[in-house]
Amino acid sequence: MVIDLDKCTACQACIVACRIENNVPAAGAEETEKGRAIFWNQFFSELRGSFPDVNLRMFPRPCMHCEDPPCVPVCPVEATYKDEEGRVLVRYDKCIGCRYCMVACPYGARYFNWFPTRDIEGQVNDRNPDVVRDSQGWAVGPSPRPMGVVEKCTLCIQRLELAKEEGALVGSEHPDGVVSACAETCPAFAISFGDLEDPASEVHRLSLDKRAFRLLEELGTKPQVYYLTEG
Amino acid sequence: MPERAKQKPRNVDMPFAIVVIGAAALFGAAAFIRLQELSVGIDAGTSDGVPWGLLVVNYVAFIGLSAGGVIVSSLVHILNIRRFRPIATFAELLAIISILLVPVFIFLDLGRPERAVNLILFGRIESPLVWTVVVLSTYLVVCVAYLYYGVRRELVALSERPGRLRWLYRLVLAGYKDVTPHALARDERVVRRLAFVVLPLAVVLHSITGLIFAVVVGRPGYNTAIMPPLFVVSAVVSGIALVALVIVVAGKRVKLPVERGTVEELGRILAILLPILGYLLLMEWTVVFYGAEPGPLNVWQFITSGSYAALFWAMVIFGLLMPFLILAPRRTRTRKGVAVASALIVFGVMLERYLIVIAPLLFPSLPGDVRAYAPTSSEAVMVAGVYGLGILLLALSTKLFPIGDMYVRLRAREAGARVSAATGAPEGGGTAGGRG
Repeated sequence: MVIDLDKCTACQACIVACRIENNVPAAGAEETEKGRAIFWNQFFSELRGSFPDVNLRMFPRPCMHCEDPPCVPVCPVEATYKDEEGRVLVRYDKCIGCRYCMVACPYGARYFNWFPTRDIEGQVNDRNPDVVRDSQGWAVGPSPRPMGVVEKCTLCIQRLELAKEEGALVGSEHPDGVVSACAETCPAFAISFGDLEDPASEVHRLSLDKRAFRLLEELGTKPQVYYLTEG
Repeated sequence: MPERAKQKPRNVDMPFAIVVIGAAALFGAAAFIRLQELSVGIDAGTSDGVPWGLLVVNYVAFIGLSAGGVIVSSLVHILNIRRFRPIATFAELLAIISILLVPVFIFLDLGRPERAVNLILFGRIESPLVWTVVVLSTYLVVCVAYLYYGVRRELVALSERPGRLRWLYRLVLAGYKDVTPHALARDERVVRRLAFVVLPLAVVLHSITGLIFAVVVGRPGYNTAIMPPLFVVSAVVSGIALVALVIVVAGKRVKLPVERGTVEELGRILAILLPILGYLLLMEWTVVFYGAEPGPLNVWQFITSGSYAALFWAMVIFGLLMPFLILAPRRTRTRKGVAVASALIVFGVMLERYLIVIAPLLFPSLPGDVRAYAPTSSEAVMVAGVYGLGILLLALSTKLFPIGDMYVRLRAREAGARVSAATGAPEGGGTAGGRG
């Protein structure tokens, strides 16, 4: 995934699309106040410098799906793992809720179900019914998560699995290519989605752009989400 | 003797009853809150930004407190300081109770405690938490073996003495009743060897506890190689302090055969170790404050002069300086002095753990405000409940197994003339034991 901060208008439609696509549970005002609202894709704003020389950077933050993810080796039960496609996923029914991965993730991309899902009417009726299981049969997709486990962005695995089954094309470079919900929704076409390792893909080309950078690159986690800095 | 016991109206041991009921009630409250939590949600100050709180602080602290038993056993068997022999098994009992409380904290903290078995079924060997599970359980087994071989002689004597609990002692002994000099020498040898096993194991255990934090790359304040040695020294200091404190507070009640000067000697050892703890902390701070690396600098500035300054200076003054000033001069290194200093040390190390575990979580790596964490009353009650469980275990084990009392009797019998009239009793007990 590549996010062009020059194109991003900070409308945050990607955040909303992600919540709907992935059945991200609503937290309510009280729990949000406590810092317990789940956002698989979260929006950040950073004000740099002091008046009058200020610079405001705003960016969405999905999971970075690091090549060298710090959250994976610390998981004591192999609930979180890196799949063969390079995605970092959580097996919700294996997770014991120790929250070590949340401590280890420097991007804050992992969220805990501190309380049972509060069924808000609309959300129940319009729930995404997709179920994705890994090779061992553990649920890893958007199906509702139980209380007491960690969850996070899956790069819309349900869409990619379906595309694989139907033989559909994946990536922003194809006119009807399958992409994640955040990329599909973005009205400014700021989010590109695709296979970084495919030399023909748009994301591959953009990741080599001279404006490309990654978050907290100095930690050596090698994120697979690139940003294009404001020009 | 049995007839006299029957005639006497049964005395209720009031302080014991109060302690047991109070501690059990506390633990009951903790269990109730936990069950409530599992149905309606976790009531804690923790959040997605600060995923670990007071329960993890205590988890870490109690692993540390178990070090006391190891150190005392090492003093006796590795450094050959015989003075500590009478308290070695008691110190080991404290260590075992501390270790037993560790999984309780885990169960109170896990999101899905019923899945804890996954740690064994699916354990991922790269995770420091799995290292902890492996080493902690090994350590527990070795400590229990150490305790068992250390008190077997007293257990045999208890099982031969008439009383209502003889079945319990026989059950624990699993039929063993050999107290010939040869058998005693063998037990002593086993205990001595176990002391050599348990010491390196303890170093590994406390290092791993430090590594849980040290290996987290993206977390300034955690990610430093000083963590494992700091945790080893903190563990040793707090562990010895706990042993000294409990001996002064409850030693007489549990009829612990403490030789004169033992507590003072523990105080002297603490006076030697405290500066090492201070030294490690000082080295960490020097490196952090000398440089300008914003991550660790932010964390430690926040601790020393920000919102956590009160806790930090309380730790430095009451947890390090004051106990040292009490313990260093011989004049103030009295039983009472050591007890006060030990209480301060246990409190200080607890604060140290709190600062080290919580403060680095408050700083986001991505743009954002410094987070806040304050324990809720539910967390406080759960922690108090586990303390209660610890006191309960200590009270029950010392009540059911009056090892200290028996230790004194056996040594007195050995030292005193064997010709005295009491010789009939053990033989009678022996035959009764044979029948059972």
